[in-house]
Amino acid sequence: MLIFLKLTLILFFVSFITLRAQGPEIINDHALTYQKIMFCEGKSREVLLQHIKAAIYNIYDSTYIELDENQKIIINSGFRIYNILIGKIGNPAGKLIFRLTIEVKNNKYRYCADKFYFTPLERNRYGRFNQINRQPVLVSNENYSGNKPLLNKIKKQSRSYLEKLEKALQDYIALSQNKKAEW
Amino acid sequence: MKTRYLLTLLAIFLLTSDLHAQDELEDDASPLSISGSIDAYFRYNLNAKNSGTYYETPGTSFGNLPGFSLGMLNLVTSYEGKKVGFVADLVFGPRGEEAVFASPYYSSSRGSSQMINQLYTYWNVNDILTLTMGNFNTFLGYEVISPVANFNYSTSYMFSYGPFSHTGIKADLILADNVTLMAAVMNPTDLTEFNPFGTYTTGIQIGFFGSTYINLLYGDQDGKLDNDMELSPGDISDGATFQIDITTGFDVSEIIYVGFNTTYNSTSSGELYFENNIKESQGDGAGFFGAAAYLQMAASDAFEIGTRLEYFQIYNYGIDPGIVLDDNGDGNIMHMTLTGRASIANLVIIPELRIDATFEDNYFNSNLKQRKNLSSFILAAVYSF
Repeated sequence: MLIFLKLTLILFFVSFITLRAQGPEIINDHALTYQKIMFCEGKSREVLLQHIKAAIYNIYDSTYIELDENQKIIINSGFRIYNILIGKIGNPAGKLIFRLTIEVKNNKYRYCADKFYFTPLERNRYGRFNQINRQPVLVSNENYSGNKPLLNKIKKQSRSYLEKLEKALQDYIALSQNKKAEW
Repeated sequence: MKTRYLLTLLAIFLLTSDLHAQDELEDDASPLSISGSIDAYFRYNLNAKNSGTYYETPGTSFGNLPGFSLGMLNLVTSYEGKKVGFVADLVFGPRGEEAVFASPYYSSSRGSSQMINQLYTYWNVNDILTLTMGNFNTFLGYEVISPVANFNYSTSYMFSYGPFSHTGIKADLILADNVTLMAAVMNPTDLTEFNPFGTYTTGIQIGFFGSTYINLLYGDQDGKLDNDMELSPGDISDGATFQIDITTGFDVSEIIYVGFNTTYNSTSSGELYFENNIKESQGDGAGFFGAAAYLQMAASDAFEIGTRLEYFQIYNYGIDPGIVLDDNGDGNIMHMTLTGRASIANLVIIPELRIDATFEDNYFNSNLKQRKNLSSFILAAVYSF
């Protein structure tokens, strides 16, 4: 039985490390900005754009999405940053909003996430988390020099968010391809 | 062995799985959250005895024990889903016991209700309406029970003699961008476990700009006399309590904040058991009123300083805050608190100087001579997580 326990432990730690080994590259660490080029061989710009648009509309509320004249996809969205006490247990530290831009070419697309703004959340008198009356602050090394732990939390969790987005996009593109290939 | 193995697996799963692994990408609803605080303090009277029968304290709630003393452990668990959620807010320790003073009604041995500060569930019916049912902290007043959310560690008279908590059902409605409405039907104030009196209290709150609130409370807090009860001559029941309360606060500049609270509370004369009959008792209402101003300044990211100035008046023996009242049952108190707040990560160190002054001799000094004011010092440490 002890061997099962050991194996389970090893399995979990290996998967834990593997999952965190990937991620979008940070192109500007001063003001938090991520950028990554994703390759999709054999896809024309039109097809890829169509698939990505479909995926994005599936993931995000359409009110957050806009398309500029160059067919650049721009998404203004946000998510919560959590203080993690242990495992799954934690509490929300604040709300992070950001801009995500996706540009598509033949066989590849590039996404860029920037303009990250953070607003802290605090429990109100009823114990529920509310945004406090403060202006959102641009996430940059300078603005968070006095709160490095929070900055690191924002970086780690925004990276994780983008990894999930990246995977969702890739899965959707692959799924669209498979559907087309079906007889 | 099998159970132990399954428990180990479960523990490993909880410890290693990503917080959002099961969430949809776009789902920003929080999972189960745990947060809270612990606080402890040192209190010292500067011009009165610090032990024994003549140990003096202001007539306000919390932070009144002598020497090194405990505040409370506050443990708040919540689930905030998009549609539904709950809050379970537990308190342990002297501050917590004082906060839920009327809760151990159900069990004379001060059972587990003693640790429940809030316990409610809610339903976000749509984007503008939320229904809440259970036990929640009061919507009246500027200050709150948790030492984390208050600037000053000690509390005001208006907070101390207003309601702390309610149990009932309430509807929160967003009327416009900057206007909110809350309407509630509740048990008598602070009777949070159940309703022993059969009367109900109505609460209304109108909010403007997320920072200014007009709060109203109306209802009988101790029930009606009933011939089915075992009544004795002279038994009385108070009439309905009405309270109106206004709170507001705004940033004057990037570093200066001003807050204001005023309240008026009145309980009408109710019923009297006299000559084997229940009669309406005659007389004026009794209660209190007051006003407090809060001025706070952020000297740096890690240090703030602020003051609270309060005037509080009791009329017609409305309450007993431990001061001498005149022949009409009137009395008044002024108090000023000077508070510093030094933050070191999640820990806040709060040194506080407080002067309470009355128009009559109310306090005994160290030589047991009566005087009109009491000066005290508190050094509190509040850690939030």
